[in-house]
Amino acid sequence: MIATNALQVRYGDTIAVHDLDLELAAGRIYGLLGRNGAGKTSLLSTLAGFRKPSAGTVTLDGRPVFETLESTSRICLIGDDGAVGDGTDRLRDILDMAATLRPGFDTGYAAHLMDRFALDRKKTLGALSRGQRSAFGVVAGLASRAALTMFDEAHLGMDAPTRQLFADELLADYGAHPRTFLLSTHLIEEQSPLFEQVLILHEGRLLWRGDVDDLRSRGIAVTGPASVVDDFVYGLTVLAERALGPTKQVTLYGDLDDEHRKLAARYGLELGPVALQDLFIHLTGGVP
Amino acid sequence: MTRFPIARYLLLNHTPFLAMCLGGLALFGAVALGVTAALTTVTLSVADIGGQILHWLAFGYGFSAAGVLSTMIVHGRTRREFITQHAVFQVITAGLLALLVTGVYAAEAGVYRLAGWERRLQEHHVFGAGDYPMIFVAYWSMLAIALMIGAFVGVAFLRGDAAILWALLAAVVLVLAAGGVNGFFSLGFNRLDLESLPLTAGLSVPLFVAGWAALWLAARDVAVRTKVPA
Amino acid sequence: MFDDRSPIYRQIADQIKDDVFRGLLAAGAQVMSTNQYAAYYRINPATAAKAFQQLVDEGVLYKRRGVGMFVHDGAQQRLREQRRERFFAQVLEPMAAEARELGIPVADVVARIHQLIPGDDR
Repeated sequence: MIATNALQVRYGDTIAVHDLDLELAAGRIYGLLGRNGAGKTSLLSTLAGFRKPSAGTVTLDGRPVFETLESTSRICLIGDDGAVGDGTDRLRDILDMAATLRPGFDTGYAAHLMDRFALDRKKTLGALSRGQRSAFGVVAGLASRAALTMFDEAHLGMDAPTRQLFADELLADYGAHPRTFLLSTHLIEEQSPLFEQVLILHEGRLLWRGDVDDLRSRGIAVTGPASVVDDFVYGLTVLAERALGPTKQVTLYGDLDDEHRKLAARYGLELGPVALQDLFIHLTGGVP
Repeated sequence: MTRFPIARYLLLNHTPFLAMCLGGLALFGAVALGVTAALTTVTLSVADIGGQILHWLAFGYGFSAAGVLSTMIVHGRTRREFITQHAVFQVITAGLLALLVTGVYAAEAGVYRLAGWERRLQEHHVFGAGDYPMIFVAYWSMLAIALMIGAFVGVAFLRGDAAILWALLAAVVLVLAAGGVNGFFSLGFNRLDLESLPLTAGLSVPLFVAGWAALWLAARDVAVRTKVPA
Repeated sequence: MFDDRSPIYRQIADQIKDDVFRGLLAAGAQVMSTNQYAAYYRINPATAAKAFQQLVDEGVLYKRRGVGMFVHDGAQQRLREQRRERFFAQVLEPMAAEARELGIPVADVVARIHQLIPGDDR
């Protein structure tokens, strides 16, 4: 549905997104992962037409996005600042405005979400706490029912129960009105079950894309006596190493063939899974 | 889908707010007039003095167009729509406010006559104390052009860098030119002493269009950086 | 809800298999929809669908188009057989290997098993 071709986003001499070719299918929930400064916000802004591509193209169902009403009216991006109106605007006025501006906006559903998130319609946007503002962003984003709905760290400042509420409402509405979601997040372990696919952006490039379970199965932790472990991992992709006394743990990336598995069993090496978050940290350059 | 949603939203929400501000200002002027009358002799038109402030208020409000543009884009609208519909909103709102101001002048004239006060206007105006059509046209011209200048300067700030300097330069030129045409912000050297309504009205149009062109230059591909002031 | 290690779809499939095995989901019973599963576990519906697909492939569930997923008639029996096989391969064999490594006599092991499962002296 949305596609980029050799997309580049530049700020002066700084390149935020490098020649990105990306295509997202309709009706799926995608996760966008990446460290701070990886280019997530630049990418999302350009996909939404907030920013003109410095080079390359962004198209929605074949039509350009930037300055094309047929496209932008079907796209909704809620930024990480939750800015869906002026700080002095009351929430109910912002919702009325959204209903005027967005062809598919569902006022009744917005009202339902306002109640669920316990938001006071009479408050102004500027008077909300960080978590409430994020929640209001979720209300505006979900009620837009846009064919492509994107949230840049939708859960910023939300407490755990509110994040669960967000997941519940997202999944319920996704079930009732299937559409494409792209959610950026730093809460990898918590949010990843929501995604059908994740995209990992690193230094402006797409580092990895695929099934979350697939990614999970690519990490293997090998634990055992240091010298044995060193011999075992020779020639394999090592992401990280850690030693505790005579014991060493090495994180490997990629599938382990049967021969290696037998070898590990013979030498008494322990093979274990790696937490998604650790795998992500290792893939994106480790802990500084 | 509603047609002209941006203009519609602004006319239904911002215009009444601006009219209310004008009402508040008129009320404040009335109080000031009462206090003055109690202390000393009234010789000047209070509406005429208060009217000067509108120029600056219009700039200031126009500046907020950058925020409106960001919000419109967040809600799926385009810059192109904003550029045309914001201009339409400016013309209509400026006209409506000018009508109200003219009404204030007329009401004031009645009060002064009853009280027997002298009612002098500032001399650089293009209109006389009872020349209501010209009062209306001069205010309409001033408000519309000031809103437009505020708008393109505001959007230029969203753009940043050199755009701000260009916009400020354009703003100075336009303010001076408009001052000559409608008599507001008249510094002497830019005074044209127009006393013809068609001339003031007719010359205001290209100035407004010039401001519109500046708005287009600033807004046509500006990147939106949203931020809610806490 | 889930451990962060093994694929979620497999954990769901295992849970459903457990329910079928223990008779909580009887033969012919309808299983919750993918959307219901997704909502309940807060997961992507596609993940639930993947679990269901695995169970269809294994003959535990079958799909009735437009109606939903149902438990196969022979599913419980099939799972019991599967588990029996797994018991010898995954439980007994490592146990025997461990016993040999520790030098525990077979008779001790058998005696202990008799103790744990009394009344079965065949």
